[in-house]
Amino acid sequence: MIAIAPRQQINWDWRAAGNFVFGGTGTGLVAMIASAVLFGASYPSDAILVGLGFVGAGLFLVLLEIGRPWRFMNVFRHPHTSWMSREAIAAVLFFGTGGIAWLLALEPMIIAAAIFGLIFLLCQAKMLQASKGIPTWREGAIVPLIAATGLVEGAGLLVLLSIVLTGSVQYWLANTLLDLLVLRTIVVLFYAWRLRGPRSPLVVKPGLRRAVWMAAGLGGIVPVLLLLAPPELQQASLLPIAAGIALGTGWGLKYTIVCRLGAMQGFAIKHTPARGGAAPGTSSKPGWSGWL
Amino acid sequence: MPDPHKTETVPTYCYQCVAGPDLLKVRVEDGVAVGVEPNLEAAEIHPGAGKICVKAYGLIQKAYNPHRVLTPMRRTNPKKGRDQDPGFVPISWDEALDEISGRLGEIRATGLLDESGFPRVAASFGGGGTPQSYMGTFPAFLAAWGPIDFGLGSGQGVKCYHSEHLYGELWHRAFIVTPDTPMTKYLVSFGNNVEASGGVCGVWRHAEARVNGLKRVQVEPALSITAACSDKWVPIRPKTDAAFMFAMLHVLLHEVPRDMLDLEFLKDSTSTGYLVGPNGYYLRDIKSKKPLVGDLDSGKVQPFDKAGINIALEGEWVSDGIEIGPDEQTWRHKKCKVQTAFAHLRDHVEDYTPDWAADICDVEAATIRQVALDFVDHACIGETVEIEGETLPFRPVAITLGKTVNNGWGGFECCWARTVLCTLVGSLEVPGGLLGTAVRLNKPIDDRIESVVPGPDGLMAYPFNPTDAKNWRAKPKIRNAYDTLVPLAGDTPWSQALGPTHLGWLFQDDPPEHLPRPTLPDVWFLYRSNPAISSWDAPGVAEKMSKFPFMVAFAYTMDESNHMADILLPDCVDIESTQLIRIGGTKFIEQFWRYQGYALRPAIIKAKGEARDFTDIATTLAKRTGLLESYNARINSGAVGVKLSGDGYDFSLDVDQAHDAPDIWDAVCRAASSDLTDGAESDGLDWYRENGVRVAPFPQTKWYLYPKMKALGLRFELPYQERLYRIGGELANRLHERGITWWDEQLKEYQALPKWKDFPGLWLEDEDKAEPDAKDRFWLLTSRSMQYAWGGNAAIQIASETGSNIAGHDGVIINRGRAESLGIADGDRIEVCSELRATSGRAVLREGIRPDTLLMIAQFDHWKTPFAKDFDVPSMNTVTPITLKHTDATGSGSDIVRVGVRKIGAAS
Amino acid sequence: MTRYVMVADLRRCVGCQTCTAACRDANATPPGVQWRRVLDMEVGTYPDVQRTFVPVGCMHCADPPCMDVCPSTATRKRDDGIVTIDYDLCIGCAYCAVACPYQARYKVDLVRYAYGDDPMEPEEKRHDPSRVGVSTKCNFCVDKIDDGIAKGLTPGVDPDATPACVNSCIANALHFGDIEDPDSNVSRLLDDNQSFRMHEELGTKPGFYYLWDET
Repeated sequence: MIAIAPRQQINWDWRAAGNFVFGGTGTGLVAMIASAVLFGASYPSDAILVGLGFVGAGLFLVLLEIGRPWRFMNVFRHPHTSWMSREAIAAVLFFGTGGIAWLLALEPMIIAAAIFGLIFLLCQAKMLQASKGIPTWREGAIVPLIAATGLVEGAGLLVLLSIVLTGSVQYWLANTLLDLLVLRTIVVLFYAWRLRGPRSPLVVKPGLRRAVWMAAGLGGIVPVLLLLAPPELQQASLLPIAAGIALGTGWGLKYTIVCRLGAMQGFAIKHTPARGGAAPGTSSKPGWSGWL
Repeated sequence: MPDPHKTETVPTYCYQCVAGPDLLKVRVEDGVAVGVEPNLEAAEIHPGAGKICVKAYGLIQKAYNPHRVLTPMRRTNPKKGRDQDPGFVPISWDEALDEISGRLGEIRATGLLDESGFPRVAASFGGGGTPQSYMGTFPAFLAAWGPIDFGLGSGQGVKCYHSEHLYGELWHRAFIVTPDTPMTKYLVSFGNNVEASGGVCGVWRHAEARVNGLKRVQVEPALSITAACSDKWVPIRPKTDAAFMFAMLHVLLHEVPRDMLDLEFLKDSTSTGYLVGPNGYYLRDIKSKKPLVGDLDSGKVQPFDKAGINIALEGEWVSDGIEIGPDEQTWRHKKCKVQTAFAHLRDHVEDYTPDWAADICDVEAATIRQVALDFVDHACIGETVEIEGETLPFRPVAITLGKTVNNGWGGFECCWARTVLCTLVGSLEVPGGLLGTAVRLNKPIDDRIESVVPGPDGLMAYPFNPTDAKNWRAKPKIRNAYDTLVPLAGDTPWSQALGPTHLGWLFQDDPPEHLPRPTLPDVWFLYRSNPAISSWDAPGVAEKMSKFPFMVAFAYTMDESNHMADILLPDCVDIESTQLIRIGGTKFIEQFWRYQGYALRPAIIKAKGEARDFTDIATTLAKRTGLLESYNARINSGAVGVKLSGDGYDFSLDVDQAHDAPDIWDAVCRAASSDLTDGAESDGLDWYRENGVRVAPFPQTKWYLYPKMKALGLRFELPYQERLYRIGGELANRLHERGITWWDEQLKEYQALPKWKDFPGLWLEDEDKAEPDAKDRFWLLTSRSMQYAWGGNAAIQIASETGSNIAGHDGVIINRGRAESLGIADGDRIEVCSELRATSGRAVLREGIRPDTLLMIAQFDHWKTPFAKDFDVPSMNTVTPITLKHTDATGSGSDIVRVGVRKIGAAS
Repeated sequence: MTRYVMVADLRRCVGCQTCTAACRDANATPPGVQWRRVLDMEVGTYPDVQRTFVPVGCMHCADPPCMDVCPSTATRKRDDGIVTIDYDLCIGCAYCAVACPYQARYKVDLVRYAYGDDPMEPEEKRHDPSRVGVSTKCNFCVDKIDDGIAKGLTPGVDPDATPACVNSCIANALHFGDIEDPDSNVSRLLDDNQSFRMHEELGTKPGFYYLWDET
């Protein structure tokens, strides 16, 4: 029987989720590097390449998902209204500026790459918001959610890269991660609040609760607690753990949104029909908590 | 044969289900059939606007299905059974036909009947008579052969409207009963799922009626498609429909003013006024033996047909007279106090109040009463309508019955009550009312109106099988003993398959006392029928089939029945072979045409593999068995639907020659053209191939029996069943004289006015009686599906795909609340177990079903048929036992069984 | 101006899926790809239950979200309101499928046939490789409409200019025509009856109307 109530979409799977995961992280990372440039702080220069690599990996996964990969150039044809076209254009500019920045070590180009990266990130967020068929995606709060998630991941990744490449993490970066985590937690809670009651299908509620616990609980409160711990413990162990959790929960959240909370609209009628002499009936919107 | 390099659309017909035929076109590109579409050019003539139903869209897949058997095959493993590999090997047509004709030749040499007097050749066809529209001239071969046992059933009786067929034909030439839908204003349907089983015309007519304000109440345990499309759904307890209708009778006869009934119709057009003697038979005039009535004008008792009398419906009358009972037993009465049949009916239903029925049916008394009042309110007593210049009564109310209501125990009571309710308001066989569609037990089989001929007592004649001592058939013609046990079955070509067809199977295990020993046919032909799946107790039937000595199956794909066959023959499917059939007039389920004529099914594509046109197979068999002359003669005389000669034309075949299929059908087409045009036209096969159909007008007044009854001065034999009562008595005498007592329960059905019995109780098993309120006990029912009904299309992918869009095709429908109380969630695997055996499948949780009922729409316990065997859905045919206990007097059962349910696995 | 719309009379529809099969047949879609299909909806709890059959498919929205999101411009809306897909442009990203609130779009990456991996002759003949890996959906049988108009026929009135599902409907539940023409069949039906459209609150302005009672 054709399912009437909303059920998980199957058009976009882990490959599409991977684009949001890696795209957010990569652009977030470049944004953090650009922050370092603006703050006059030092940064591991090869991290830019890592950022480009993440975004590239995400787009490669998309290539694996689309039905006609050899026609990928057609993706640029509709920037007038399509956030996917805009995302693709932003990606080209991001790679261009980011590549130049890395090759020539030009800091202004890092700023430019970060701007295009943030535009790319915004495009990704708007792409989900424009998905009118998916109630949890079309919710406006998805935009700050995707943006905040990308930035947190960028900060978290820069922390880890700093430890690996330079052996230390700068104070501003740890603070930024802390601030962004607080912001992301607020945004996640706001997103979940926006989807309360009849604003989202019943089928997503358990997953949504789990996502909140993951992103706002484990991913928000735990790293914050770790970052607030005594400084002597920070560099050694707690900071990378916090960064790892920030990163992992962000990825988990986006994977969940695409692959678990992507329930479709389902079907609804405003009236059951009159039959013969019988009066018509009420509306029906199966799988939702409220009536139309 | 079509031009292989041309793109064209070729008209043809679809008669895959009993609701057809419908007209369509097949799109052909370069000799490949690529699609089908409705024949909208026939919109004006076809009562369903030239449309076709979902099943017809499977015709392309049917032809090109890679699982088809495309070469004759011979079994190499002599052992038969489900667990045996038949070891089929391809053989040539010559080898196959040599073997078959060899067997047939032996039979002709030794005698056509065996030691029990049964035909040595048997043939079973499925699909409610539809295979005849695909088997070409095979009927001519069968007719030329001589006695054949057509009575080994593949599910009919339990799967059809059996009691309705038999009683319907008796009362109003109604093999199938239907409303005059477009004009009907109020319809009570007891489980008649017309939106699923009524075909294109049923759906079309009811949709029109619905928008035009037809009020329809669906009384049924589950919210079927028809219930969904009705004004009101009344979820009644299974097998209690008779109680509901008896209570409606009570309301009409005890609660509403008399003048709300159609008293004029009752007096003048029925036997309601006949006086009934003390022994339950009509009080008759001593000399003329005519039934007597009370004349209100003279105050005297008179023969019913005395001119100018005003027949009384009630009152006590005193008269001399005689009663004639079974075997001419006669009672003479002097100054006997008698009452009319109407008065007996009135008293009979006095205790059947809505309150009485409410407990039985689990329906509120107020609901029953309201339905009865609405029924009578909408009857428009006294109104008339003009049809084609003829003024006829207009009574736009009807009651229809569905499977399991109108067959098996209780079927008689339901059919009777329904027909009497319509009789009381005069809505029988008049515009807007309750109509018959076609005849199968009366002749001529293609003209319902002409089958109305005068019989005894001012009533219609009926071709009962004899029950008098001299003519009763103590030795039945065939294994199911229809002519011995079921007088109502008659003796037309359809009668064998309308007898107790399961008895042929049942008697194999349990030979009946004092009837000839059940034997197996030496040769059994099987076509478009899969008894090993479609019969009740299908696994048991499959086991019995494995014992048959020689079985020839016309095989589409391998399946569960031809698994037991000795020879498989690949016949052409629908769009590969040629046949001309009659269309139009009135025909079940809801085909009421304003035209009649002929439609051609041409060979549209080249036959796949070595598949052969059925006509060519029949001709070859006739030639090889030395029956060619007789076979051709049968074709000439109309065995395939058209007599080849008539006034001013003669297209008869040379009887000494074997003719190819195109030549035969060209002659048939020419004769059909001439028949329709009084010899003016003689267009042949090519013309029909181009145009598809040829029709002539058919008057709407011929939809109704009433004008013919009036013209002949006949009365409907309602409500009192004096004749059946007498025949039942005679049958009892005959059987008891032979020492046969195992049919005694069935004999109790012969009543003048049927009483309510605890019909549901007949199905309660020991487990139910031990624990009446057990949580896991259910009624198991089934319901028709448009995607599959009669189609033989379980192997067709599009049927499965479209069927799966509708709730229940993939499992067992169970009430959500009841399921949850048993810990069963949607999609869980459950086992459904009767006293016979168990079947299992997914639970489909729905609100629209009684908590005490399960519904299995799908009946696909296939284990051999390619594609279908992967469905993994349960079938009630696996769990329904064939028993004499559940066989009624007409020889039918009901598709109902008590089961227990348990969860055996979680949803995957 | 012309805007072609579909009108489904819920009072008539019996959920028989003849339109589903006719659409599959007319458009040679692969198994399971049902551009037109009919829902079987149950409302209420026992014994107060209603069951309604609801034809669905592409709603040919006036403001189609699928078109806005399409990055390749494969999805377009014609002047007559019919939303089409250019299979030669589509990259198969399925963005349109998640943007459509009506679950009307299908993307088939692996070619499937009715009976497994090998096509039957008609399937082989009608197989269209341009539909593999791209988004597909109901196009109101647009070629038929265009051919019919070229012959001077009226869509929704003349069968040769009318979508296959409408021609096939055995309950006379499906109707097609120009809603901008006040005298068209669909305009008259909408005048004489009460109707709604699905998910109107999403602002898609669907071109698929459901009749549920007389006016």
